[in-house]
Amino acid sequence: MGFVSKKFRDQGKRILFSSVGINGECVDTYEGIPKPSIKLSPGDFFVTASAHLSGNSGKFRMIQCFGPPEFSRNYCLCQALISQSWILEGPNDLASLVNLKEGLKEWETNLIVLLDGSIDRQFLGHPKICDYFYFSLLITDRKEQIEKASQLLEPIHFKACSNEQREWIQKIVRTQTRSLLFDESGMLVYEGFQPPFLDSELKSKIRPLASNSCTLYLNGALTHSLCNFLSPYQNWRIILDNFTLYQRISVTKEKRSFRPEICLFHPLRLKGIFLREVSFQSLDLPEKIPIHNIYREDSDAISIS
Amino acid sequence: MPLVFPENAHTHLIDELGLVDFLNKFQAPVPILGKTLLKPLKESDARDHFESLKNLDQKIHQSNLNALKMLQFTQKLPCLDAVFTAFQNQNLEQYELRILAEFLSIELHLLKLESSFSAIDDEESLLSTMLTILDKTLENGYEFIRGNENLKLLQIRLENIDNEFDSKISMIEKRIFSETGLKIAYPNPRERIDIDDSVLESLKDCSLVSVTEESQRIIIEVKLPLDLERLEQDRKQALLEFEGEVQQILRSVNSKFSPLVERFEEHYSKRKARAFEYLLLATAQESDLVLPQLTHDPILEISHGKLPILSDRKEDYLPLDLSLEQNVQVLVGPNMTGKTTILKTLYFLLFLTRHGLPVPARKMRLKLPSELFLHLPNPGDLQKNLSALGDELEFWAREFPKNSLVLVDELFQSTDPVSGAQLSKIFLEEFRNSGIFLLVTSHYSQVLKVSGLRFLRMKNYGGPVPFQPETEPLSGIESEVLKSTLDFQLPDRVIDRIKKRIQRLQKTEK
Repeated sequence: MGFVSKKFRDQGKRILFSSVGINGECVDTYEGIPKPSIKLSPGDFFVTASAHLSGNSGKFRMIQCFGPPEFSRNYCLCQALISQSWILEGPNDLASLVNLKEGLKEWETNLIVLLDGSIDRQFLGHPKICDYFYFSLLITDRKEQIEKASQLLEPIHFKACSNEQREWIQKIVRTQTRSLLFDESGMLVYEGFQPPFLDSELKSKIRPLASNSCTLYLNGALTHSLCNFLSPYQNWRIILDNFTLYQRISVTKEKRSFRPEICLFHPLRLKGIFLREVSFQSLDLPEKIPIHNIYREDSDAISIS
Repeated sequence: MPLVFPENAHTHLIDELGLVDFLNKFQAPVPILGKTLLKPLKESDARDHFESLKNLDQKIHQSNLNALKMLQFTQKLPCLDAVFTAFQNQNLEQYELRILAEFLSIELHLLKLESSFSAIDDEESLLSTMLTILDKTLENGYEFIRGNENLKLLQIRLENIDNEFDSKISMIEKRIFSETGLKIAYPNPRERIDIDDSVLESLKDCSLVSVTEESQRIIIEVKLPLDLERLEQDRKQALLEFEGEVQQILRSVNSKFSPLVERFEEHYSKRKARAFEYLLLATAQESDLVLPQLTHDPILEISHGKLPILSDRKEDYLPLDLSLEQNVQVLVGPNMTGKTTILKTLYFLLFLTRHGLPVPARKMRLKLPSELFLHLPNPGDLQKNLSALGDELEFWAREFPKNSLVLVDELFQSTDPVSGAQLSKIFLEEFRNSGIFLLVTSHYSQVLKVSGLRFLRMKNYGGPVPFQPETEPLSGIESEVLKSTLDFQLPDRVIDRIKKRIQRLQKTEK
């Protein structure tokens, strides 16, 4: 966050900090280790839940409050007046984040919003929310985390779907659509509204088409179980609405060969990856994406490309 | 959705009759209302409620205003529910003060609008006093704490210390890098897993860092020199003084608010009640709903009542005009002419009225029933080991409070025609003049002979009309039923036979 904010500040951009879920606590509740705090300087803008302003009177300018019924609780748009660490907790669902973006646009149109959040929040991949991503990997040396990071990087290699497939989907897709199954000629066979891994009707429509070359659009998680179900379907294309739906993370002990081709409806726009030294040895890093080794001695940023 | 029915009202009828969908009409977001749980009202409360709504509506119109405009203003008020605890405990902080100021500014505008139809002097004076206190505490559109000179100096002192600290720590970080080759950013420690012995030696020799060796890693931290430690102490001291100054401002404002808490709470709850009223009136205005008129007379009159789940999708929908007495009414008529729909429409309209809502009708005058009961034909209940007849008898076994509305579809059609007709007669005679509004539909001609009942029959392509079985023989039902079967795709031979039977009946009727 510090690196990215410095970059934008140097470009003279106005930045606002927020977070999906709570960030800025002293200790990582999962790892049990100290976390770097989120220190804001005088003049920095931020959005946080009103509860985190308690005990900080006088240290901020309160510009606006976003509250119920559009939001589940009160979130405040503030400006830091003195330098100090803050706990940031912004809205945690798609609708509230869209509302927040709209509210912020009314206040200031030329604004870079830096959202700190875990990538398991699927809505972050929605194009209405994030324009670009930075991945920060490997806070610890745990093997599981290295594996997770490695799998998180898999969708970076997924291509965008073809224009023809995009047209098929755009003609039909609705807000509540979770899956679309097309036959070889692009005719719609099924539209599902349940999470795809729970949609038994979707599976019953897929089975008879096993030997065909079909296209399946998913706007719900491609879970481990769904991956296993779809594994044998050679010549199939799975189009994920966005990369956050790829959820094989932490579950791939017994890797089965996955035959369908996976592509993305909304391509992943990755601006950079932050790593530690050890990461370079174990991760399949993408080309043409800036890799920032935050602990490298001779440079703040290197690019592999 | 701002309005919700109580959970115990969530029967299958709520969905079937579209009661929850109807609440969507009241979905204008009103932050101060939050989620309002609707409760069934007692007769006197319902009368007060609708009377108050009617008076308010009249006053608004007399002032050349309308409920929608009043609602739109009310929607701008922030919800203060979460602020009240701090208010009562006298620990309002900057955030709460700001929200309170926002509320008071909008509320004063709203009161001015209402002044043309409500007495507001006391209220206005209370709110103005509160806003004056806030004007003295916050500044620049209530965005900042209005600090004294001391607070401003402390803020500058903190900024200077930070600048000096940042510049010095940056020099130290550079020195560490030049002495050890290690980049470090204070205050975050560096962790290394593998490290050259020579680098480790240089780190241990460097007076600006501390090195801790753990089992698998080495942790390196910046060791602050004395002058920076002193700066940190200075900062802590300045921050304490800053916080102390702010606390003093907050204590002062909290003590000024203390005597006003009770009155303001009272005002706020009145505002919430008024917001609810605006929501009901504005929705009634927008959606063409009316306020039921509650009377002491035992009547139930509905003019142009609608069941929106049907009226919204059927072009030939016929609204309901009906008048019921506090006695037994029997509704007869051919199948598929809308008898069941009449019962469901009545239940729908009465359910809304009991929950204090305006209804889709042109006019509705009634003595509010104490309770509502509706029995629809069903195949029984396996769980309760009840047959269709058992289920209907269990319905009749309950005690119907005086002045309740009891609606029963196809009375005792759950058994054979002979027993059904006999049971119908027994129950209808029993409930004559029992002080309840009872409306049943029946296909048994025997019930027409029961004295002391009121009879209604379905008009051709029309609603229910009263009739006297003694003087107006009930004819034409068979041919009407037979005609209605022709709307279905039955086998041709069956259709021919039905048509012939209709012709014969028509000749006889002539």
